[in-house]
Amino acid sequence: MSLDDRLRDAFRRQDPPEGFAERVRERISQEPIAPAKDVRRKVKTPLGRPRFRWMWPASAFAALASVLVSVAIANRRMEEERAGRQAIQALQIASEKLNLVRSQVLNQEVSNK
Amino acid sequence: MRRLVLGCLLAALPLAAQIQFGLDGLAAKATHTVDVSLDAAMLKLAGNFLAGDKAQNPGFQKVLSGLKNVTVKSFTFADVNQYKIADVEPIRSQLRAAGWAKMISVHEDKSGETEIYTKPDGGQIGGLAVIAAEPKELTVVYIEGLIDLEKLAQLAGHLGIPDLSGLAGSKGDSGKKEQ
Repeated sequence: MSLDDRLRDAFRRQDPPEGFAERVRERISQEPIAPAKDVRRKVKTPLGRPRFRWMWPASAFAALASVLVSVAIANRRMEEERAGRQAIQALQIASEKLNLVRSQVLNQEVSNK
Repeated sequence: MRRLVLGCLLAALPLAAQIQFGLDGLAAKATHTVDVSLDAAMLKLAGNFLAGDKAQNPGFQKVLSGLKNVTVKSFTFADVNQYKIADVEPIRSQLRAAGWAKMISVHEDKSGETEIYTKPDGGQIGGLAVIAAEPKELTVVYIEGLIDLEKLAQLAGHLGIPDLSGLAGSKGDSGKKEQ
């Protein structure tokens, strides 16, 4: 038998034995179906730890919050400084004018004497 | 409904009590303008800032703590006769209407006219207003709130504030210096 004949014989179409389909169906119906496993939970980081789904959003939120807090603190300090300088300027002018009145009064008292 | 109207009126009282200066038109003629307006919230912020360096700013926070409003409007002009004394008359009227009393009024040909008004508040000074009308300068200082002149005098020599020694003693001079 030539090689071609042997291959043809090996790949020849054959019908399954009698009752094969029934046996397969019966076996399928008897065996319980295993629940599908969550593939996502098996994905691991390069370090071998399970990936934390909220890690990046949480990190981004924390960074944003810290930036906002820093800006708010800096803004408040700027407002405090501006208000402080204005208060000093106001008190300087007030004191200057009170001093002016005092010297005017003293001058008048001296001239009256 | 009555409560609502009463509430609105009570809420509007502090606004009505505030002095309207109406001197903004002078800013265009002035060579130098100072316009400082600090409400209670801003004064609290200022107090926080000044409390940061107690060695440099001794007593500032104490002086500011009792104040509700500090407004200073100062206009310096290049020439004389750039404003009329009538420009400050509405301020005087408002002060008188609000129960402020003229404590000192000094008139000199060279240095102009200066008036000090105080607001009595249960034996203490509840406000201080200064109207200084000099030939080339017009300044209005309006300070509302409890003012301790002795504490104010203690600030002399700090941050450019001139020496005010003896000013505290002038409290008893009320009305005597009026010209």
